[in-house]
Amino acid sequence: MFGERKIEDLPIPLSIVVTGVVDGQSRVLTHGRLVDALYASITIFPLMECIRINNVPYVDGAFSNPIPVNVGLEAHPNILLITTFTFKPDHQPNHFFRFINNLFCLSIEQYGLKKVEHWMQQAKEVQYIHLDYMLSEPLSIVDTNQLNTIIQLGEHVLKQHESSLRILYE
Amino acid sequence: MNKRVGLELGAHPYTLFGVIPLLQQLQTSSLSVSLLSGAGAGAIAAGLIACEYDAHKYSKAAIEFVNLNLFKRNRMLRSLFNLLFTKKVNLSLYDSNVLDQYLTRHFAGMQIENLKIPLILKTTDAFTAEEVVLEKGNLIEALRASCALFPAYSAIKVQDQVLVTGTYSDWHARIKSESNQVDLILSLSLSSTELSHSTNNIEQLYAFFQRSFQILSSNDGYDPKRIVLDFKLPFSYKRIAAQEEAVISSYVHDCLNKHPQFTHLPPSV
Repeated sequence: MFGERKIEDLPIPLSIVVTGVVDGQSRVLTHGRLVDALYASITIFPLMECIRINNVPYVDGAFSNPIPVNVGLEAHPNILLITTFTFKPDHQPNHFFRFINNLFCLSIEQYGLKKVEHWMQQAKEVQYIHLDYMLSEPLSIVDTNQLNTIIQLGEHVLKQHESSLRILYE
Repeated sequence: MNKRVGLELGAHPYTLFGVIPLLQQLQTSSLSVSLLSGAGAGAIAAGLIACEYDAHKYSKAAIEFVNLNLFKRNRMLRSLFNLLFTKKVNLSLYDSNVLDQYLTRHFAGMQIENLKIPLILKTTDAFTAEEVVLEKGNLIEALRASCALFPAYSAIKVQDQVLVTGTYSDWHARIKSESNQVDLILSLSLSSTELSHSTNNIEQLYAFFQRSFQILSSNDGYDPKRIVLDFKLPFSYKRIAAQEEAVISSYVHDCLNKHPQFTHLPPSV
């Protein structure tokens, strides 16, 4: 889909957040092959193998900065749109793996949301709209049938924020 | 009047040894700890300090803890069988008997609210991943919950809530800076500059996720009441051997002496 396209050549500036395997720190990729950066950023370790960029292994940015609001703030925007996917906790998971998956996803989500709150408190001059896509359960990463559910949910969330989103056009 | 110091002990296993020189320094400055907060291994350290273990007894207990071989009593096969053939969800990869026995040896019959130094233990709701703070009740249960590194160890039910380690919600075991119990908060956050050298994949994964949660939990905001003692130790994240106690303690001691805020710590207000 992206061939040999480079991040720096894209018409809209793009920053992709990944996590360095060696030091665990968050990195923002703004240059280089788009495919490599995207692959690194969605590498759910240990289910997927990490990818090396300039000989440095990287995995999913969620392990260090799941909702990279700080990266958005660096561009000094007037308005910041924050989109997050959260899901309702399952109090009766019917399987061990489901239990682990719930706990880890929710934990990363909670840490991410705490950071968002912290950063937005520091950047009081920036107006922001938080679009939270609340799912009834965690999505399977391989189930494309759920695409429709996500689109419908997206439409629902946009409708909910209709009035606040109007400022984008003013 | 002496400043009241709150001590936050993060979940890194080295915290058990890193806190020794910190306590010695506080003693030299005539400062005493008036509130302790811990998560994971930091909860064990906080529990021992709250029980007023003296330096010798504390050191012995810390060495005993890290030598428990918590990951040795492997019941992986049994767990895998259960994973495939049962609907039980609260399973674990390792047996918690060794940990339970340790906790019983040191904290039997104790209630958190009766401890000489007030203690808060950070745990996580296993279903919602929300932070749960334990400030009263059975100390063993609370410590077991704060150390329940699920799925290595099973979750534990405390006061009608199913809990796992505080690592998943508050790795650093933060004390609220608006707390009127303390004038100053010292946050001990140790990390390793490199991952585990262990060839055991589970241990490497454990190291990766521990560090990930530590980074997720870190907060880069300035808080005038808090001094963050964030030291990167040049040791790998492998399980600690007893002889490393002195090495870690002396390294943290050097770090403390060079820390700009800590060296100018005023003993009184």
